[in-house]
Amino acid sequence: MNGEVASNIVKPAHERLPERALKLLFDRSADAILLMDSETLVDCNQATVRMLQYSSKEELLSTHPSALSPPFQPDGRSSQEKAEEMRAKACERGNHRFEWMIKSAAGSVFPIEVLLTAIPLDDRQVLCAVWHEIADLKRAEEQLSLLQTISMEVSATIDLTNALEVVLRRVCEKTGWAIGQSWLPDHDGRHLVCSPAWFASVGGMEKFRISSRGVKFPPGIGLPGRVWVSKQPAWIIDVTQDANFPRADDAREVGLKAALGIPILSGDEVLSVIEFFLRTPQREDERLVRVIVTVAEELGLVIGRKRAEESLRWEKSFSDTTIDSLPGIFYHYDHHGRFLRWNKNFERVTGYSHEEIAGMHPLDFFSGNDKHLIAERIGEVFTTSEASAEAGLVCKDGSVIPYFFTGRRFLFDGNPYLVGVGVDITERLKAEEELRRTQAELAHVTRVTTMGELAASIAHEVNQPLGAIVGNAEICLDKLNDGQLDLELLREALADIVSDGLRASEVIAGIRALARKSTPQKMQLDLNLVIREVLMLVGQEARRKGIELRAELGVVHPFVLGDRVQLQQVLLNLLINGIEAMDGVEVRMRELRVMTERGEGNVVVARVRDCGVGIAPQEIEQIFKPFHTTKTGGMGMGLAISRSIIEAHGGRLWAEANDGPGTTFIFILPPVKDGDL
Amino acid sequence: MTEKQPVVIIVDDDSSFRAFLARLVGTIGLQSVSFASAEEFLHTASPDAPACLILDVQMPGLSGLDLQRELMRTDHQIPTVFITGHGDIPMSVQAVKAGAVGFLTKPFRNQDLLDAVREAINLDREARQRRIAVAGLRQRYDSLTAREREVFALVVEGLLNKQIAGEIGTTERTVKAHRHQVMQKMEADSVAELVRMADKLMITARVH
Repeated sequence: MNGEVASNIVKPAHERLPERALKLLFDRSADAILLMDSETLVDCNQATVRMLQYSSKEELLSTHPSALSPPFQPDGRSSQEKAEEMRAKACERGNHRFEWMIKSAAGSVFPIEVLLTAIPLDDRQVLCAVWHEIADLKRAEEQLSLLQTISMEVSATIDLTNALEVVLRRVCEKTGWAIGQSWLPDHDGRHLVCSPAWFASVGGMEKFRISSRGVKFPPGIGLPGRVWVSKQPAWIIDVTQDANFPRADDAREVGLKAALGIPILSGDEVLSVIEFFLRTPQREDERLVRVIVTVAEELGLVIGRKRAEESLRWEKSFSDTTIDSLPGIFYHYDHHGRFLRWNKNFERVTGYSHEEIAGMHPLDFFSGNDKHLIAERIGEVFTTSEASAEAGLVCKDGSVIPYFFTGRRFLFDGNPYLVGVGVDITERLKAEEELRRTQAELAHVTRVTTMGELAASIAHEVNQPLGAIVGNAEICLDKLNDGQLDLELLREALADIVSDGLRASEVIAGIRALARKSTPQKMQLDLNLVIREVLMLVGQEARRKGIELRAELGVVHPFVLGDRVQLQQVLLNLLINGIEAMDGVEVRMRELRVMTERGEGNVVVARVRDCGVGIAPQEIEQIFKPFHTTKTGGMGMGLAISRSIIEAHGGRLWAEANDGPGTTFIFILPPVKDGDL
Repeated sequence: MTEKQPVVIIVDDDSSFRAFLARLVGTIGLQSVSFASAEEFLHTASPDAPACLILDVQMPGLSGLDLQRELMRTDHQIPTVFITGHGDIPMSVQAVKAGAVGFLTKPFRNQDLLDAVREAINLDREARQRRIAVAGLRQRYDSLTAREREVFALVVEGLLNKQIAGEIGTTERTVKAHRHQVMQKMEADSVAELVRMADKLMITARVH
């Protein structure tokens, strides 16, 4: 269909087609066909009504033709002036084909191709215009150029406000809308506030601008609030009639009617809401909305990109500062051991320059066994993602500083890397050494104190065999003096002297071992033997208090890895406590039992069971606290030290109330494994 | 009457010391029996012979002093020599009060122990003889009739036959006959001897 067809339609009465057919052709044509004289629109078809987005043919026909064009055409000339020229050309040549910008009822401006034919009708000249929408390609080209303009300008801007200003101005200029404003979430993200970026294509908007600057919208309130929540464009035909438009009074005052709100999104986040107002009520113009949405999307992308770059820059400067402010050393290398990043401390501590480190391998900083250890741990990081180690860091000047290193694997683009930090542990090692020394000293003091309590008993324990030795020796002497050589008797007496002498010396050896101040030495021990040695020391104390000591050492050779003196101290302490618990208590059976057995996992279990006063359940953990004592002369360190000794041996020590009277102290020690031997 | 072999009873929880004590008393020809605890000893019948107890003061369970008290309570006292590893004064006082013959602190001279043991055995021997003599008298006394015991008691009080007859309401002749029976049954040669017997038997006249 073209202008020729249209021109036929209006030919006078001698036409070949029946009038009804012509009418249908006019009405159904996809092209807009208008008849107009110099001042008014005479007739138009439905396609025209659709294209211009009017509600009815009558509404359109009542409009002045000048209202169908924007004030200016793209070449900058006024539409009125240019329209005169086109009309003149049509009259002169019969018809004239040209491109034109028209304006829809909604206010959107878009290009069309016009075929204008001058038709003499009766005594006047009528113009028939056939409007053909320019192909989508053309429209797309135009939109693209708008978008390119906007995105170029936006890229050049330094911040969001600038970018918004560009968009608001360009859109207003392009569409002829009166005012555009933008809204931003405030610092805590609970309200939208008006941004400094705005544009008005007409004067007299200041009042509305001021009122907008003075309000802020929570989610869902007002046009910006609605768009903020929905993340969708919103169109208001007439804001003065809208129930959810708090600025209606100010809008009425400056004559604003239709409004459009568009979100600017970066991902799912609403960066801003932009709004545009028109001075006439207007139904939604989908095309316009689409264009502005596209612009908004472009803006969102640009800003998103800018933000990403900014955050990348920020991250970089943040991590640089963080890494350099670490108290320890920081390192980052790939699985070939190439250093990629390290902090200033690394250079300061090792004494190597930046360039030197760049050419070094992580293992260059270690020597001897540490080199193997670190190589192993680095391998561990790359296979299991995490590892740590204590090793000596070898500096450029050859000095070695004890460090605690950590390493963590991270994968980037499928390549594994290691990041980690190292902390100087010189002070910690010193403190640990000091603590160990203090603990050993305290243990020694406690031991000696405990032995002091036992002094009388131990003296007796030695006196006992001595008494027998002296007596037996005297018998022998008497026999010899008398010349009565009863060999059998002499042999027996001398044998007893020997065994009693050995017994006395064993007791003394035990005392010396306990009184000795030495660093713990772990070796394989038969716990039963340790128990027997201690029983010898407390035997007399028990006897003096009328207590029966019973050893039920049920395990054959319960070997444990431990320090003999320390384990004796624990047993000594538990046995003395047991004896004291029964002191002065009338019980039928004054019995103190020491038992060994095997527990789950082959652990060695030792129990010391008394039938004494017992311990209240709420006190049963308290007794292990330092300086907790129930004795008048006690330091209250015995059980605390005993527990720390057992725990240092990888075991546990606790107390349980007996079913009957008294308490049982139990400790478990791990059995000796093959590797320990 | 032949004297039985004396026995030394050793109670000490230390086996090597027990062996030594047994050996030591053996050197002076004394037999001994050893016990590791007071309880063990209490569960055994006391020997029917002069005995001596060598007792360790400190033992698990019943201590030496506890054992001594227990023996006193049941009237089975045996002269005791105490031995202690570290004796203190209150302990020895207590032991001596309870009738200890000796109190020795280890180590001691063998002779001191042997002396104490000998003394203890002698004490026990005398006590046994005393007990045996009293037992014989008691047996004779038990053979008297009720009337004869009445007469016995009044005789040793020094009453004349006539006075006795008045006391018990009979004739002087009858008292004479009873008196003769008493002297014969008690195997007494004189009134003086009868009086000594009465002392031992702790008999006194019951005056109505």
